[in-house]
Amino acid sequence: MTVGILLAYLCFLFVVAAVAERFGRRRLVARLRTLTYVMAVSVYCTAWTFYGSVGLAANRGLEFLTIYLGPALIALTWPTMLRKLVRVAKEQRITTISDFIGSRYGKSAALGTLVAVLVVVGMIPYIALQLKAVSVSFRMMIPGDSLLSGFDPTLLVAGTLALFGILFGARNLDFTRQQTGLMTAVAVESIVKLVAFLLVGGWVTWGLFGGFGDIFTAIAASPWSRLLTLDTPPAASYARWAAMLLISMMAVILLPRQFHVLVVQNPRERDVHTAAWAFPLYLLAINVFVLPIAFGGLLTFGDVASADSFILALPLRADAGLVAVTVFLGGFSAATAMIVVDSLALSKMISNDIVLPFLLRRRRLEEVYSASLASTRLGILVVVTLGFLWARIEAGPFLLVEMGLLSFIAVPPCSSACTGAAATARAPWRASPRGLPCGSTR
Amino acid sequence: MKAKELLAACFVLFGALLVWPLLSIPNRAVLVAGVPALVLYLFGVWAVVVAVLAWAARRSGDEDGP
Repeated sequence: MTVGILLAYLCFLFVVAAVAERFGRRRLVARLRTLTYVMAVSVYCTAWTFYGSVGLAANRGLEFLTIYLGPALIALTWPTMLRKLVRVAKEQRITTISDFIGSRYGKSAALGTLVAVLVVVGMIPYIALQLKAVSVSFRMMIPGDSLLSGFDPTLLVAGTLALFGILFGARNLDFTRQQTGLMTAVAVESIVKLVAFLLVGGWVTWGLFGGFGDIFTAIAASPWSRLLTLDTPPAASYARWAAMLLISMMAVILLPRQFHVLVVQNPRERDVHTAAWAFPLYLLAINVFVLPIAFGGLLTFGDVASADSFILALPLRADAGLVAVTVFLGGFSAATAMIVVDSLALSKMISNDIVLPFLLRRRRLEEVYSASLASTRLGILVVVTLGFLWARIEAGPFLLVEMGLLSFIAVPPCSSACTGAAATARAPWRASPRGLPCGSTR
Repeated sequence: MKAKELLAACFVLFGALLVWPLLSIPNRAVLVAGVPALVLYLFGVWAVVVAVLAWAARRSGDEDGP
């Protein structure tokens, strides 16, 4: 049955994207564009949020919140900073972070290539994390004696998602054009994962236990009471807290998928204002039940070893099949959205900053368009394949957070370059007459 | 005050509220209405951030015109 759900959901994604692509120019869909944008930005929440947050909360208490508090805090600068970034990106037709850094520092192709290589290598573990989450949750869903116990869905999922990215993302080379189908599918996935998380959270909090008070009181009286405060070793320290806050503040714009959705696929500049409050609200909503689920898992299983899968293990233990399916779908939607958008953004980097400079040096200009499109599509396949291989090699226990943090840490080196780029961008841009139409907001 | 200046001020203020030393004030092992003080505090600050941004978005909507 689980395989059926998985296949049905993948088909559903193709249908949503195809329908949105077909009717994208009608007025109704155009009106939904702001909503689509806001929801698509929530691609920030991946399988890491779904399974990893609970695991981190059970191990280190409140530290998981930094990954979401950072973006909420930096959102206060979005109406000014992000809006500016969006405007510059639109004017200069920038499609990736490596483009941006490369073009800001004197159109340096070498710098662009360096950034692209760094970012692609840094993001592979993150994609692997998603595939691994799919594989582990799938394994939990099927009974041990099933015919499928030897079947691993990751290859199937990875292949389908790469195809999805090629069909709806890499349709043509101009990434600044609205990818309506892809964005709508990602937005729908964001709704699925939020609803799934709230449902299972409510079920654990009020169905299994007697509400928030009940769970927190039981934890406060247990050996895990240290999880309720900071700076009580071995739980999170203030220094670690501040560092993770800072890293997540950078990651929310500079991770390739975030940059693609937030900046490149931004439909209208003023939608940044809506995203600035709706996105932190989304993050708040999806985090409300993380602690109850983590603590509920601790109280039920009495062990942190399998904390990453508490959210699925709780309904399975209580024999609540429907809740378990909801969790599985939520986690699956979180993972697929991330894989699709990330591989797309990375493929553009590979094509623009690694393959194209090489082609141009050889002066084979007449083939550039087709070669570039082919390399973008091939790039998606390469990225997904590397993620798949990494997930295969990394066969240890379920270490979602460690894998995710590895990729988050790949971002800060780019951020100093990017801040510099934004700062140098500002002066000439201000003098530019093209800034005038939006002068009323300044 | 203009929305932009207010947002910049809020960024500094809420940034300070979310790190040491101010963070150590609510960081104690007490339950308030069944919820740990630190959890209430963090989600409270978060909700205020959302409210400020929603207010700023409405204002900028007025300024942008139809």
